[in-house]
Amino acid sequence: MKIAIDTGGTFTDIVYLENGVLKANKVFSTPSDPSQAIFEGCSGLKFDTLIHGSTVGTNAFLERKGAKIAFITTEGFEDLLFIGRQNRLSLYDFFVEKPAPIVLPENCLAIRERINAKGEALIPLENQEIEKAIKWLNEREIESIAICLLHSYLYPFHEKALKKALSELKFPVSLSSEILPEFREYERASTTAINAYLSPVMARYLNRLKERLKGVKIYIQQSNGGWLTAEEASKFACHTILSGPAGGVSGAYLWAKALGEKKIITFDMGGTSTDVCLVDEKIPFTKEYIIDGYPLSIPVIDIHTVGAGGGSIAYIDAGGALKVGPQSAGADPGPACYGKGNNPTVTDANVVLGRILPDAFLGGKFTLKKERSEEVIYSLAKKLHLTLEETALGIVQVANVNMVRALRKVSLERGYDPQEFALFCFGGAGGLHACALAKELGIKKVILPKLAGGFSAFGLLVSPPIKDFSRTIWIKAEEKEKLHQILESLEKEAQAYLKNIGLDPKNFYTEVFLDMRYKGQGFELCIPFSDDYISAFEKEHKRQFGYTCEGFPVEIVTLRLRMKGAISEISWKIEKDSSKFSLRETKVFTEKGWIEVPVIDWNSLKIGEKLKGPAIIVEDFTTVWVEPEFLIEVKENYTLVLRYEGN
Amino acid sequence: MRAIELEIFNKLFSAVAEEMGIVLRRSAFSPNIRERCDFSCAIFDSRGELVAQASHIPVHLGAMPETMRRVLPKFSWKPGDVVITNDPFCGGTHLPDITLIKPVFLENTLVFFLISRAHHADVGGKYAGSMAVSTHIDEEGIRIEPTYLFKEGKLEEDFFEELIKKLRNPQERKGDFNAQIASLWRGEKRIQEMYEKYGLEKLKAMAEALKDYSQKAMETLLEKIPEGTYEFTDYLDDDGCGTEDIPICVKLTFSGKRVVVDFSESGSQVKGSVNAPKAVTHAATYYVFLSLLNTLGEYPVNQGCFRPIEIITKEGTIVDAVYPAAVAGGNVETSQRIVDVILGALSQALPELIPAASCGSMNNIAIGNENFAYYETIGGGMGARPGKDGLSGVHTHMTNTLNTPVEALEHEYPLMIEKYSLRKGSGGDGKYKGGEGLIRQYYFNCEATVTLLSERRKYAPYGLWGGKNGAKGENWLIKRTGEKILLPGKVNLKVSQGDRLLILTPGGGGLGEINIVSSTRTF
Repeated sequence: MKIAIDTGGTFTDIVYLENGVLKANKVFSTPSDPSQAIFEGCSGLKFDTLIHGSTVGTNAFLERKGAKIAFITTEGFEDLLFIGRQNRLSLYDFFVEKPAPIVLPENCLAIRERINAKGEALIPLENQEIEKAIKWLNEREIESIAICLLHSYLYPFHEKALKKALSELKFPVSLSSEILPEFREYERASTTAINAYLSPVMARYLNRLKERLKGVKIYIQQSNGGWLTAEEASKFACHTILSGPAGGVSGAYLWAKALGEKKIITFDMGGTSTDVCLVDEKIPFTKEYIIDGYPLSIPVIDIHTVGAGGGSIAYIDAGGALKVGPQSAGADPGPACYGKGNNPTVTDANVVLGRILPDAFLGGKFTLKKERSEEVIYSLAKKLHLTLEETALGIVQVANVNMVRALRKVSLERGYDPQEFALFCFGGAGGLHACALAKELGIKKVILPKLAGGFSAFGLLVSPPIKDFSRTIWIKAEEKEKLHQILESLEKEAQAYLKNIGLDPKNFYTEVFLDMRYKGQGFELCIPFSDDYISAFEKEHKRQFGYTCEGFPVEIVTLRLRMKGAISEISWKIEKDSSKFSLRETKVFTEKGWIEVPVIDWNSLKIGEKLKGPAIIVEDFTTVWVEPEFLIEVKENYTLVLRYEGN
Repeated sequence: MRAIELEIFNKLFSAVAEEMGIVLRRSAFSPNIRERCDFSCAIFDSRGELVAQASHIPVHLGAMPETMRRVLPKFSWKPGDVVITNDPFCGGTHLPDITLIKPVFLENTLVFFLISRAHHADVGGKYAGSMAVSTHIDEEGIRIEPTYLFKEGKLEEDFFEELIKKLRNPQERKGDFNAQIASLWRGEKRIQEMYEKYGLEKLKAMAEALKDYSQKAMETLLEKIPEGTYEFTDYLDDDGCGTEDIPICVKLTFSGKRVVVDFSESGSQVKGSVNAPKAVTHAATYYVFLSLLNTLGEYPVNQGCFRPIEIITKEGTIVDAVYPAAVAGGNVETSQRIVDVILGALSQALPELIPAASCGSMNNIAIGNENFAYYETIGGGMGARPGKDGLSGVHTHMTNTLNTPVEALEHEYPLMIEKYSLRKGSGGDGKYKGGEGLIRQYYFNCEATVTLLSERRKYAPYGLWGGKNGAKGENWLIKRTGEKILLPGKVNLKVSQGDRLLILTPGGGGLGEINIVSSTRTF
């Protein structure tokens, strides 16, 4: 049997299929050794395959607890990682800082060699330079090496020669020409350095996990939405940065597809942050992801994150405006209603507004302290000269504006009209805000799967294996023959690679993308390869920017090849639990004041049932606030589809 | 409910300006715009007051209110109009910064203006890149006095074709104009949607409320500054045409909720191209006070921030140049010195908040021949801050443009970059150390003309409170023969294939007496 495990900040979710029925477990995470929670969570389960979404890499990076690395580059560019793009992160700020370093200046080495922009070795790499490097590395306390030479995406042989020679040192070596064979030296160097920084951490963690789960085949979810072997993940740890969130998007994509929805915006609101992603029939990718100030330019599912969640703290600034976040009360001390902290949070506001029921939280296992929420929000209300309820509503509205902004970023700003999409909502806190956000953006349909806790793990369970390959080629768009030749050789390379890591290329199919632009532009649009890729490019340019440039030459900058494992049609069923709450009435505060609202246990709903908002629908791990003017329809697997019937 | 609406509308308006910037950057052609982000977008109201801006380039943004003040009364605005200008004597900055202005009408009334300003890689003139050391504005390139680019939705084709012809690489210029226009269209669409949702009265009322809110914040800041008059003088090295040691003097007078910033005692305008139009001086002043405001909290930047600040300049001086002054370097170099003198004066009033002098130059390099025009700027060391070292190898104060990736540059132009690294030891020593400058070495694969516009080659970035000055910058020409020639800070020169240019940019000033056991160096 195959199981999927997603390790999050607070909970570790385990999901598997048992006789076609989707089962989910939840245990508290054990941040000091995440494999502990995994071991506990799946005790008693018999399984031979594990697909794992891990935050080990992300956390090690954010906390700067990665390996001690050495960075080797072309002479004259040894400060590449410190200079970056020579800009500062905020504009009107005398006290601005650069992102915390991931390598020490004294661990950067310049190598005498030079490749030009045509891919010719202007200064060949001499053996004595390699020997010098080995001697230098031997004198240092390091655990991992990153190598990024100028123009190595055109001519990788200097990097390869270095790697071969350095293999005697027994350190893992990350080559920029292997990790990201594309132009833009800083972005490539940063990605390579991140990889070197995280690989030893990932390898140690996976070894521990293997120890605990003897005989289990372990696969790790990558930021591109597919999994690869644990060995690959140890070598290419930079691919695991968005492991969990990527699982969520993959899951939403399949879940929505099963309902016949191909255009969705995923909305995953948690305690500290919210992830959104727009899926227009295909899961989108970006290669401009930035993690804590460092570019990570490999293809990553295009997830936009904002610092707004249930734990976001509300405060009044010196000018008298109400602000929410990005500071969060987190899980500890948590919102004031958890009983430990004194911070008024979005969750507290929802408690005050009657939208979170104190006795229905975590399946009733943990009663929230409503009076604490009222107390902390009242202290804000006094300063604003507003009532308690008005202030709580204001907090929710300001938090919603932050989330609307994130949703606009992935839709309107990229030329998509959100009205054509359904809002696909998962994660613990999203159901409280989904209706308001949909209304704000003109979205008519909200989808909520009955698996709010554990949805990312579900995504892992249904994801295919994926390996991405790319190459900067810089050719004219008309050079079709040349393109086909390069494509063929890259394909061969990809197949050989898969074989080499023990996967059968026959089980994979190929997706080809071209990064194209008008010659002279600086950003490429990623266009799926087809016979008529030039007009596809023009169409996309028109969609995103509103115009095309007739007669301008078009070029193909980078060729991308994705090897994606064919995944057999999966079906799943959700069984409901016994209902815990009997139908009752409660009061909810809205723009129109207090209104009477029925409380419904999600487990009491029948497939095909239709209801009308307003309603509060509760389940162990989530609460849905269905606003008036929304119709509720219970679809297969108890998925809620809310339709806005207002204007 | 005002406290809540303020935050909501602040986000809504600034999101429009930001989205305009995204459209412009992603579809532009010249590396200036797409790689270096040398552009800015903003929203003004019908009175020409700034409502919201995106975080782009301070020298552009702060100059826009003056642009609007000058341009607005010149036209009887109609829906579909787009006005174009780059005129430094009509609220512009320098000629390469071309500004497009579009009025937005709602219910048949003029409600907002959208502005998109971008630094084009060339606007004609004697030297490629239009950033030369010149002595007359007409040598610097085409000066476009405010005029219609679109009139009631129709492109002024004859004008546009004529204009494009006078610029080097007209195809690229056309692409950049397309991108600028697309950004205005997008902004208009978004404002229209906001109108449909909230209605005209609400939009207008909230624009006013936001300005009042920011004004209140700025007043709170100014009230905290000890009352009195603070003066400071610093010098530009030279104008590249014979005038040296050009004084910029400021007198800050704080009383109650207001400040008067008086530059009257500054030197006369000069022959060379370091003259700053008034709009640039305003931009530099606003930058300093907006940065101070940031120490109180994150406030929306709009006209309200500027109301309590009175700026006095004398026409015909280096900080308020009039026709026919050459101004290419005023925007990029003099603006930085204006910041330095205001900070110098403020350091006496607010020693706990004011950094030592930063690099003080954008280290401008324009390279070209009949086949290409390329322009870039190089960062330097940031001045040490109270409690923190200065950052190394960054753009400071009035600019924040990115570098062009070496691999992109070498792919597109007949140039090679042989060295791009931190200039170790260039930061001024002190309890808190100044940031290090940069070293950048160019190798030319062809004949070309090169213009350098750089400062702090003679007067070093100052240290504060016993901190040492940052190292001065240096420009070197290394001939193919190996001969090394020290170049002046501002120069037009011809280079041959095989020549090299080596630029060492200034470090930041240090702050505080050196204390041997103190801080570690950061990068």
